[in-house]
Order: sequence, then structure tokens, then C-alpha cells
Amino acid sequence: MTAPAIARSTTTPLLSVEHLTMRFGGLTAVDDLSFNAESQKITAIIGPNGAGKTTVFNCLTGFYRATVGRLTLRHENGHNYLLERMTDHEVAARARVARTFQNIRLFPAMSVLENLMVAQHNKLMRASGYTFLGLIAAPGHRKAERAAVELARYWLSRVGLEAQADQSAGSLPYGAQRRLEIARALCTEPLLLCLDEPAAGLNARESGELNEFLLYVRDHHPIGLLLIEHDMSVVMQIADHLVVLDYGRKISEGTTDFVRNDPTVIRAYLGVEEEADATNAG
Amino acid sequence: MPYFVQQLINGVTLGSIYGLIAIGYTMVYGIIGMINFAHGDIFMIGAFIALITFLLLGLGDITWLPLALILVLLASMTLTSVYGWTVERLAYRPLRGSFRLAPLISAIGMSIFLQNYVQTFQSARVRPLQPVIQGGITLIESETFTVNLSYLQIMIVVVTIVLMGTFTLLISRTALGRAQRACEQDRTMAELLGINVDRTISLTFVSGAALASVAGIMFVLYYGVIDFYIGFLAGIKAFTAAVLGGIGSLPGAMLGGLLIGLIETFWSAYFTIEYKDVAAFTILVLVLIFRPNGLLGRPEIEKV
Amino acid sequence: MTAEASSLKAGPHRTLSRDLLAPVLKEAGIAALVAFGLAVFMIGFRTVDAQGGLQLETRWSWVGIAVGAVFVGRLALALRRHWRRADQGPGILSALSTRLGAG
Ligand SMILES: Nc1ncnc2c1ncn2[C@@H]1O[C@H](COP(=O)(O)OP(=O)(O)OP(=O)(O)O)[C@@H](O)[C@H]1O
Ligand SMILES: [Mg+2]
Repeated sequence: MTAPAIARSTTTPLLSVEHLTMRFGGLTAVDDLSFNAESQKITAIIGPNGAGKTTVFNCLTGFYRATVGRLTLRHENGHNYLLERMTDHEVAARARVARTFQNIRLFPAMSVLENLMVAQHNKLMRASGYTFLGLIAAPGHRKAERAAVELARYWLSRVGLEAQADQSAGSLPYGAQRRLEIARALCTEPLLLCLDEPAAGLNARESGELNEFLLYVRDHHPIGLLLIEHDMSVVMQIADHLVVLDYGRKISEGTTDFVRNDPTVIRAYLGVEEEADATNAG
Repeated sequence: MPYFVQQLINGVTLGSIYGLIAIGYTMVYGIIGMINFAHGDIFMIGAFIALITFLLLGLGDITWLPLALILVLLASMTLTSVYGWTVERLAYRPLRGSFRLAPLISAIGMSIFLQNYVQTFQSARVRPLQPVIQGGITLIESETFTVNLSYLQIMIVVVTIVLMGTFTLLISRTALGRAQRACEQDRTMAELLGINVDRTISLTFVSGAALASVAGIMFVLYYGVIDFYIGFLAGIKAFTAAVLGGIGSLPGAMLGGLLIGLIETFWSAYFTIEYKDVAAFTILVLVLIFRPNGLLGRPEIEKV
Repeated sequence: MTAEASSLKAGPHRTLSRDLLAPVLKEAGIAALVAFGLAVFMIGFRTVDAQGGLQLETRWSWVGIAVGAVFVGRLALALRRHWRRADQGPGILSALSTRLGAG
């Protein structure tokens, strides 16, 4: 492994994306993108519609196979995982990357609690001795099952859904479903949590609560957050680090203050260049 | 009246066997939305393995019946599961993501293959087995008719109830069951939560095959003869049972199996034995026309 | 996981001969084991008609042939897949173990 030619912070980052390129036929959805994400930091990927943000997530989570690029996830114990070589369930189970989707993808026919139990499948499967111990209600399995319920309840109380634990997930209102989806991703005990436009469709109050929750996760758990947004105002309040994409290329990267004042970003967001020039001149 | 009671007993026994096979159809349909037409032949292989194990035990002089039955159960369930796993691995998994009919065609091919395989390596003729479990209880005795409940019938129904209970528990309470239900609803999402979907599907086939093998053991014991073709008819009837109960629904499969067993038995008892198979298929047609989602099926279920 | 790490350190060509054999043999061995499970009763024994019921005939040589054929076939498939990967540089082992893990 040769050292990448990108600037490194002093601490080794949780995730390094190096020269990620994703092509669909003639279309280059992501073009030579490099950035890092750190644990206990909120890294936001922003950019206009179709900029390639979701595609980055899809490459990270083994959903798409990157055309070019190296995606390294580092664990505390020094283990490195090359995400671009792993299948999607391995990315989740071994590298411990969790994600949510832009559109809600719960298991609607299952209860809220069951949704969170499914997310803890692998450890429960082991504890149940691959099902046999589970059927005879062995003590070891019961203990694991209780611990899983406890973790589920912890996250439920954090997102304010404790009272709805036994309701079916499909019957929850929209905002609650969004929060449940994040809670479910957290139940996989991830080191990197990728959220694809979690605030989409939320009203101002809900979106404010969400921001607070994400800050809580950042401050109290050893998790790195990767956040996609296309509405800049939402992320400006909580992101520690911003990566701005436009047409698949990184056009800017840095702190919120830096990005906010970066003329290339302003131009991309205002869309029409003449207009941006006009305001600059005026 | 005594005659009716006797038919009821026979019908419930037969229905238990159909129900056990039907669970395999319904679970596989639930998780990958495909009719596993080779499932009936898996049942047939289970019956053959049971037959061979019985013969082996006879050679080995194992005469204590409960031990013999447990050994047959273990051998047949294990080895038939290997068949269930292999069929999925070789014939269906490579076609996942292919067009919708591909695995269906593959399943029909697999079914024919398994029949010919058994015909070649065992024999095309019927294979008899001497009665293993004999005796019973006389329930009603009148001058005209005696109602018998054989120990074998009791065993079949009890084993079926125990297995169905275990299975309901598995689906509703264990990690595997939750993973299966999750895969039914959104396979991609399940995968992204760290569930090995391929393995979950494999285990579904394995558990379906294990249940079918128990049905196979019961079939050998109950009828005393088997051949390579029993899987076809029994499979289609169990499939009818699954559709009748609402394919994809576990209690539906049990209910459907029971109903098909009863209908078939009463039809032969009160009308004519010749058209007993027609009865089951008439039901299939009627259900498909008037209640395509079956008795306990959920109409809103949507495949992703 | 360990396979991944070691394949990173060693060059692609050194891993070919030494580290490769173990997973490939394991894969073929598992396939042979499955074949044995399939064949042991259904091919190993044949029910033949006799007076007063059935008798069993054994055919272990056939089982041996079936198991051997599966072992060799799977070995060939695994090796072929490996050579193909080898052209694409390092990381073959992780890919291989991935496939094995999935299977
Ligand atoms: N599977 C695919 N096949 C072909 N093109 C694709 C595929 N996935 C994404 N694209 C294209 O790649 C580009 C980037 O899409 P992507 O979904 O990553 O954008 P996005 O930044 O998430 O946008 P939005 O803000 O609308 O969610 C788009 O032009 C899209 O049409
Ligand atoms: Mg998107």
C-alpha cells in the first residue's frame, strides 16, 4: 500500500476515500474523489442534486463496486478494511459501516423493536448457536437477547420512540420512521454511520431535534458520522468538516466557515455564473 | 357416524403430512418469491433415506423402537437437508437476479433430475417397507363399524404439532426467523444491516427440506410403499395446500394442508376413490379464481 | 480478515503457491464433503427386492467416484477462478475468502 498523495491530519482518520471514481457507462457520477472522515466528527458531503453524493455512499457500503479507488476503514485495533473489496453484508458486519437511505427503508410489517433486533442479527445468531439454542431457550441465548433488547431500548429512548416499541414500523408517522431508521443503523453498533439526507421531509422543529441527536451521538459514542445533505443551511450548524461535490468532482473542502465563503461553492450553488459575477461586482 | 369419525382421523393424518411439506413451499416463496417445484422430490428423497435407514437398522438389530425412530429422524433430516441446500446452491442461487421465470424453469428441471436420479440409483419399482409401528386404540365399537386410532396416526399428528410449534417459535422468536422476515420485506436493506442474505436463504431451504423429510418418514411408515414418483403428487397437493392457506403464510400452510387432507379423504370415502386427486386440484383452481391470496394470505404483500 | 492483511504485505506472486493452496483445498474439501452427504445413502446403498421385503446392496466404489469427481471438479474451478484474479493484481486472497465465506 503506497501512501496516498493527499493531505493527512495528524491522527489517522477512520475512513479514507482515495481517488474514488464511479462510472456508469459514459457517465462519471463520481470523479477522482478523495477525503477523510474522522471518528467523533460529523463530516458532511454536500452538493446539488445529481452531484454524486448517494453514489459515494453506495460505493462505501458495497452496494456498487467502485470503478477506481481505495476506501479504507481503520479500526481502533489497527485492522484495516478495504471496503471496495467487500460485499455489502461484510461491510456492515465486519467493517462496521451502517447507512440509511434517502427514502425510508424500514421493515414495515415488523414491530419497531423487531426492526432494531434485526440490526443485531449476527451476534444474536451466534448466541443462539445458529438457532438451536434459541429454540430451547438456553440461558446464554436469553441473556444475549436481553442485552439486545436493552441496546434497542437505549436508542429508542434517545430518538424518543420508546413508547412505540411494539407498534408496527409501517404505522409510524414519517418523522418517527426517519428517526427509527437512524436508531436501527445505530443498533448495528457501527464505527461509521452514513446518513443520506436524514433531514429530508422533516419540518423545522423535527430537523432541529435531529441535529441535536446527531451531536449527541458524535459526542458520546465512538462513531464517525458521514452526512449527505443538499440543503446547506442544515449542515452548517452541525458539521465539523464539509466536502462539496459538483458533477462528481470535489470542488471544495474544509470547515463550515471556509466553505461558506469559498467562491467556487457560491457559484455552484447559485447555479448561473453570470448572476454570481453580477452580485460580486455589485 | 363412526365412519365419519374414522375418516376424520385419516384426513387429519394425511393433512399433517401435506402440511409439513407445504411449509417448505410457503417459506421459500415468502423469502425469494419463487415456487420451488423440486420440493416434492426433496420429500421423496427424505422418504428414501428413511427407508434405507430402517433397513440398515434392521440389519444392525436395533429393535428398541424409539431409538430406531430417532436415528431414522436424524439420518433423514440431516441428509435430506444436504439435498435441499445443494439444490438451492446449484440450481437457484446462480440465477438470482436473472429474469423471473429462470429459477422456476430451473426448479422444474431439478425436479425431473431428482426423479431420474432416484430411479437410476434405487429402482423404478415400488419399494415396500414392513410395518414398523403397529397397533392402536379402538375408539368406537359398533356392530357395523369399528373406529381405530392407530399409534402411528397418533405419532404423526403429535410430531406434526410439535414441529409446527417449533417452527412458529423459530420464525417469531429467533434471530434466524427475524432475518427471514426481514429478507422477505427488503433483501437489500437486510444485507446492509449485516445479514448474510444468501446464507439466510440457504437455511430456509435447509429447514424446509428437514420438514419435508419428516413428512417423508411418515409417508413410508403410513403407506408402507414408496417409489421415485411420490414426490410429484404429494408435492403438488402440498403446493395446493400452501396456495389454499395463502402462500407465504406459515399458519396458512398448516391450515391448507389439513383442509386438503380432509377434503381428499372425505371425497374418497363418500364419493369415489378414483377422482380423489381431481378434488384437490379443483380446489386449487377455485381458490385461484375466487381467493387468489388464499385463506390467510395478506393481499397487501408486495415483493421488492 | 487475517488473509486480507497478509495478502497486502506479501507480493501477489508469493501468495500464489503457498497461501493459496489452503483455501482452495478447503473449498474443494467442503464440496467433497457435501457430495459425500448426498451420495452416502442414495448411491451407497441400493434397495433390492428379496423374499419377505427388501435387502441392501452396497456400492461404495460409486460413492468414491462421485466424491472424487466433485473434489477434482471443484478444485479445478477454484484454481481457474484464482488464476483469473491473479491477473488483476493483489487482493485475490481476500476475494477468494470472501467467496468461500459466502458459500
Ligand atoms: N445505477 C446507476 N446507473 C446509472 N446512473 C446512475 C446510477 N446511480 C446514479 N447514477 C447517476 O449518477 C449521478 C449521481 O447520482 P446520485 O444519486 O449519486 O446523486 P445525488 O448527489 O445523491 O443526488 P440527490 O441530491 O438528488 O440525491 C446522477 O446523474 C445519476 O443519474
Ligand atoms: Mg442522493
